[in-house]
Amino acid sequence: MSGERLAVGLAAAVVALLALALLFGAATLGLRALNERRARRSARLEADWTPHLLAVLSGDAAPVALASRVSAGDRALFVDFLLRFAQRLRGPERELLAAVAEPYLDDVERRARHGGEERRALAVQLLGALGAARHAATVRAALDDPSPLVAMTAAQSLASHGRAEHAAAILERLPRFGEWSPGFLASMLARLGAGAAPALRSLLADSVRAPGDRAVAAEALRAMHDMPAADAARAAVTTASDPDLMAAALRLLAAVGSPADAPVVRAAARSADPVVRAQACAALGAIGNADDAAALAALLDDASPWVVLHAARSLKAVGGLALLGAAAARPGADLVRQAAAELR
Amino acid sequence: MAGLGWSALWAVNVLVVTYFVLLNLFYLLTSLVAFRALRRYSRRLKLLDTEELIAGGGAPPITLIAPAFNEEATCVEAIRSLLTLRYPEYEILVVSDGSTDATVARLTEAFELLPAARATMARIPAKPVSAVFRSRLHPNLWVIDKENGGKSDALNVGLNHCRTPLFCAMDADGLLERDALIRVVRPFLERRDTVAVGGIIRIINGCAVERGAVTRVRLPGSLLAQFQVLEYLRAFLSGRMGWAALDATLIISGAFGLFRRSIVVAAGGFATDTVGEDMELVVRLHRLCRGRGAPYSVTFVPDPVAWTECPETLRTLGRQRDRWQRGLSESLARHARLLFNPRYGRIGLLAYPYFFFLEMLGPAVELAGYVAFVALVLLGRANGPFVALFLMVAFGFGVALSIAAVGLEELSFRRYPRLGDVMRLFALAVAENFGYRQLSTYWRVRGMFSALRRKKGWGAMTRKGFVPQVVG
Repeated sequence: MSGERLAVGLAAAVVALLALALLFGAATLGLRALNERRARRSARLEADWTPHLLAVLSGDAAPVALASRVSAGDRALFVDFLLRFAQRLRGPERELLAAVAEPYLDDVERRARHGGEERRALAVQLLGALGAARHAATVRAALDDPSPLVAMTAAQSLASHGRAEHAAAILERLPRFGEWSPGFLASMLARLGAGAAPALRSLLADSVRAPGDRAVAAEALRAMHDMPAADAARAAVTTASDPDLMAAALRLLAAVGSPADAPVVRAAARSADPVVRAQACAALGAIGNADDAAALAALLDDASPWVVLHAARSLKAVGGLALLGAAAARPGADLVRQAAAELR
Repeated sequence: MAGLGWSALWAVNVLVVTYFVLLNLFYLLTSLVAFRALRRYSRRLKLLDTEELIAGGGAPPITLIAPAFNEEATCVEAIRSLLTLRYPEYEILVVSDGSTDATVARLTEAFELLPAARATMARIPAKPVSAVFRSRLHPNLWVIDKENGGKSDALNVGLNHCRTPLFCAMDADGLLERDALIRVVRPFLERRDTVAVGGIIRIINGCAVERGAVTRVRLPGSLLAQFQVLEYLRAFLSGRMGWAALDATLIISGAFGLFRRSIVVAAGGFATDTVGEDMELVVRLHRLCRGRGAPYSVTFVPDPVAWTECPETLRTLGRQRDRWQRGLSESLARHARLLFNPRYGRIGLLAYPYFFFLEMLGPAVELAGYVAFVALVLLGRANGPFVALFLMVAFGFGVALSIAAVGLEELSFRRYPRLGDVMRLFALAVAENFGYRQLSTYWRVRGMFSALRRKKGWGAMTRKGFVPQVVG
């Protein structure tokens, strides 16, 4: 390339880059102006809608009273405005809110089926929060949406509104949500409410299902403090080989089990897996008795610090403080000593 | 001999042009990818109901580990702010790294600390602990006093005492926004194989702080701090967001990162023989996870914010940049086997080479370019129009990319509400090319040489503390 052509190229690059910089700057300022205009409009409309909505929620006005204040161009904004209230309301007030939203939800229904995944997910969220029974089928159908995001939004929506009648459908699709953290899935399922407990117990007892799904069911049942789940938990501890499932079932037994379940837990305390041993120790503290003190004291020599900590805590719970003190006095038992000091 | 000199100058020119083209192409790539990722992320944020996440109980417990060394000016305010975080279950471990000032005394007085016992759940080698305290007022607040061993050593002590599945490494003088934890934990909820997540760091200089929370965001008064605001926007919104979207996150800031405890313990904790312990850990985690062969994720999320005070004097800033460059060089040098190693996927083939050639060696190339340019001018051998055009291209690229970063901020979080601040950022995008950039290059080259000399230590940072201001 000749020097002259290079110089021309560079000059063109300079012009292009400066033009690009100006373009970015103009786009930024344009975006800012647009955002500010939207914010002002939104604030003005919300200031108008809020007192009327509060009047509806307090029973001083009919749900249709707001319709005349929402123009065709403001429908989407209005539905978003209602969503913020829906996330805070329960019971009859939520039903009133659903009645206010009802005339605008056909548009939202259409959005739940078309467009990008975020758009569909938002529509499903709106329907779940604001929709009456008429829209539940759309939310339920979204569990099979090709996008995991939309499917998860549907599941969360059904769960957070306590629609236990959909528990079986959600549990059937748990493998779709395999990427999500077990703790998050468990808390979502627990929000379905006590009506979902039988389906969760069945899942926990189903040895054909993936151990991860069963562990999630166990955690959900624990969060619900479901006493009848102890049988399924005991069976899982006895028959399962997956450490995460065994640990989850042991945590469940610690929460809802009884001294009758202790033999199963004692056997688990001899597991080769440190997580299982640690949870078994913790469970013995909850449902064991003084007879477990010797076994727990032996676990103070465990290689896993978690087992040692749980064993020390459980020893205190079953009245084995003397054994704990003796173990702490041994040379080299630093962790036991620390744990004992912590429990004083 | 003269011919050799000209050849050397010509080689430097080629190197500088190649470096310049590659660097800007990477910046452009990350900015474009970040633009798309931020738009998508902003849409997804509408689906987030933080109240439900907090109330639902599905968020795992977190331990905040805040190493503190002589932080008497800011520690009480900073910890007060941590105590107001909106998160269902968390503990705070303040690790005083042998502070010689009144850090522990201030904390004891403010939070009624009492001696306590706490068993250690890991055995990462660290300097001895002299005392453990627990707050009588806030049972989730612990203070561990230990012998001085550096920030990494303090983090390792915190890690040894940590009992939650996740821990957050942060600076004791930083302010986390109230929702920061519930936002930064999201990737751990959405992907069970997530091992580390970084949040965004923003500059607090110039902002109003009330009761441990930033209540009004403004650009700092100092020009030096203003340049850093622009740098941070570029580094986080264009850089880290772009790299995260490319699934090649190699840096999580030590000022705010959330990690899976078990994997960091398995990796041996924080390295104590480098000042770049944050980056070194992330690189090591990549190596460990790749070695295990199981899927994993290390990522960045742009909405959880940690506010930090930036240096306002050239001397302190120079020391900070020197240290950053030293940390980068040390981290990359000790994991050199990642370079162009296909076994490490995008990390080995894309991120590591970028940081190695363009971020670690780049400043030296840039400085050599300046020297060669001056030499050519002095010797009367510079092709004036060509040099001028080249400099203008460099300038144009820099300005365009900086303005793009301001645009990304406007597209996503809009933290600077005053139009004047945005216009000021535009002006800074132009002004930083005249002096600040060259100075920064010099500091980074100095840092590279410090790494080669194996210099240790952090250097002091003078803090003004968070001054409560009445919002007008």
